[in-house]
Amino acid sequence: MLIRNIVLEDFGLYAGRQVIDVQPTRGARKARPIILVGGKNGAGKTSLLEAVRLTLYGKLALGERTSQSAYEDYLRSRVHTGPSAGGLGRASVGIEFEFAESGVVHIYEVSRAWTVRGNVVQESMDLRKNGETVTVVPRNEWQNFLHELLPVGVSQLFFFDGEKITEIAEDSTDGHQLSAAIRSLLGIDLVGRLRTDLGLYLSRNQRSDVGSNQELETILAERDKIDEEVRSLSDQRADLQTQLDGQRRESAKAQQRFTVGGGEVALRRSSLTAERSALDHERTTLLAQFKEGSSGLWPWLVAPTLVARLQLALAKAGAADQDAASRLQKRFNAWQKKADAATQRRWTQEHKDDFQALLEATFKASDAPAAPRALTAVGNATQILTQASAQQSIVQGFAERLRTLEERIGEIDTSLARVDETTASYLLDELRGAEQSYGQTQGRLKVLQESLDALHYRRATLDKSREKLLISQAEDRRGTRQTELASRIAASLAAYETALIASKVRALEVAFVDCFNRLARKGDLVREVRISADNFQATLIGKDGAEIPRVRLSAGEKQVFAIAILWALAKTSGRSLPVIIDTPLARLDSDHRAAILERYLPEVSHQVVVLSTDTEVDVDMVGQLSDFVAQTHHLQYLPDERRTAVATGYFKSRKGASSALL
Amino acid sequence: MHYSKLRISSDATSKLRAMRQRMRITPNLLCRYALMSSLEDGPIGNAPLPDEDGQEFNASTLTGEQTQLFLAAISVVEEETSNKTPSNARVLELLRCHIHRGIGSLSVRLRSPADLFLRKADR
Repeated sequence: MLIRNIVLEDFGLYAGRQVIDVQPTRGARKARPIILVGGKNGAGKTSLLEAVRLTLYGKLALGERTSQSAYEDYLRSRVHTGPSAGGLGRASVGIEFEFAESGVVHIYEVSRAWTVRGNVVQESMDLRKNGETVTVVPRNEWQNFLHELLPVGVSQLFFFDGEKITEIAEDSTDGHQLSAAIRSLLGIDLVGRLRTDLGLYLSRNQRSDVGSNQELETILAERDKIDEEVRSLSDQRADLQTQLDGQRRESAKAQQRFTVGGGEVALRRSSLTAERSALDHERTTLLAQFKEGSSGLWPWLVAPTLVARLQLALAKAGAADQDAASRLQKRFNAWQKKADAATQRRWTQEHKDDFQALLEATFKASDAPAAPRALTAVGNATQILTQASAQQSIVQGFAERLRTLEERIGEIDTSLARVDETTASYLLDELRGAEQSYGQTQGRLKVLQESLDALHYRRATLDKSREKLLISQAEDRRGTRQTELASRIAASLAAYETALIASKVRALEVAFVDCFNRLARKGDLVREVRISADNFQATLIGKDGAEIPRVRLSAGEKQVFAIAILWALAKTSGRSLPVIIDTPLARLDSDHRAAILERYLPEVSHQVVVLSTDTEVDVDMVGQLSDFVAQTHHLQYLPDERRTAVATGYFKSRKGASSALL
Repeated sequence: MHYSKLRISSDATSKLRAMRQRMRITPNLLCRYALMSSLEDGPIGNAPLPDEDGQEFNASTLTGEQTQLFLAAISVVEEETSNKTPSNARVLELLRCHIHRGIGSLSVRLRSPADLFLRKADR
């Protein structure tokens, strides 16, 4: 599939009809797959991605089971309202794409238009193939037709934003995100649903055990309830996120105004804030290290004296035992030699062996000093203590670094407070107000996220018990012919699901290693990855064959991990689709950025639309990429007209670079 | 020896809740630090037993893979005063005592995770 252009009419910040050409071209030797769309924050980059999703999926673009009224609210909010708006309350989005069917390329045009009159939102859809309205498929089936062309689950792997990358990167339970992606990619949810339905059929027909019947229904009911809650919380989260984005923009604007009008003080303040956020970032990494260490051996290191004492006791206990036993043995041997012949004869070999055994048994168990007996009973005590001591210097380094960081953060906060106190400025008040409400929203978001995580956990537990129930049902051989048949089908479905997942996971592992190593700065950091078929937990194996714990990856490497996962999933999906990425590089350091730019973007697909800010993909990077870039567009927000204008070329402020491009 | 569940005091539980924000790790891990820190301070002898009205932990979360060694360390430390190895039931009581005492002192002493590993002289 190849998208020719995206059409926006009075959509969001876009006034009038805007057609954005996104076709890749061929260079002299290589293809040029990349279409760069630049725009500052709030210029409408994300609207482009939204428009594509909305066009293809309508209500579903907002998430599964969005209510009609929420969808209408959304449509209403996306009608352009700038001064140049016609006031007709009408907007539309559309895309034109090429799609090959049995070797023939067809051109499809999809568009979705809506009008708002008072409380009523009227939506209509148009689907054309090669310029003519599609008639083979009835109008009310158009949506399904599009779904088959490009399933929603699959599209998430091709159309995504930095947020999605962060979600996967920071996903501490990491199976959850990955599992959802893999399942939707394969359509395995369908198999799962079939099995559940069979389970219900079975339990309703097995008169014998009423218990399991009710159990399954209870589980399903509770799961539905949780789904409901998750949905409502997710909605709230989305609302908060929008609010937060708005507040972030607000606070950035306030910062700008303050910088312009605040003089010296403002300069100092912004350099302090920048340093603080860098320190915060490093602290987060340190705390992750602390968390890992704490569940390992670090607790032993708060008791150095005790650890030393235990080690000494262990060493002594071993030595003392050896000592006493061998001394007694020697005495006995000497006495034997001196003894008269009759005594010597009386001591047969059997006697001697018995004596030997007695010696060993005695010194193993009882003669050791009382203190370490509890200790020596622990098989791996010496090993644990040695390992703990070995981490001493790491812990010391961690603690000192953390303390330095925290002291510096404290200093910065004090200086900031002083700056704020001594400056009486309307602009500063405004800035602080904006920052405060941003912080509050962020806090609320975090709380919400925690309850969402708890729900996800409960849902996973329910799914496990459902699984158990279904398996035990499938194994149950009692009952009539029908139920027996159903049991057998359930069993083979389960086997099918397992085999399907296993084979896809294998393919994914191979693709992932390839993708990850191409992206990672440290060359062949990862030799292998093991993705568990049960919980989709990914374990990285380094080139020395040892596991690389997720926490040891830096924030940037985690992002690379996430991008590699998405890339590998897209590859395994076996579909040739365009890729649209919104602000992909926000949190990467410059080395990783270069890797993503040079190796990921040009290769990931035949068509790659990159929506980015000028700081993410700056003019230098555009220079590096120029061999692969087919087109550049620039979204510029015109504050007076409250609309975004689309122009060709990348950020124009620096002329040299953009003219070198086109 | 083995145990499956342990309930700490209500006082310790509320202190743990307050510390959690500062320390950024879960209560079970904080308890491990508390235990070790209290053991480092020496035997607890015949101090009164703390109540059992607080949070309950599973052995696997509270002391985890190192359960045996933690319990052995308690025996070793306590033998100093009593000169005999405490019984299994007593070891568990001592575990509760040490966690209670450790949390008490850590909650006063700790402002940040760094304070766990740095001597007072370093501050």
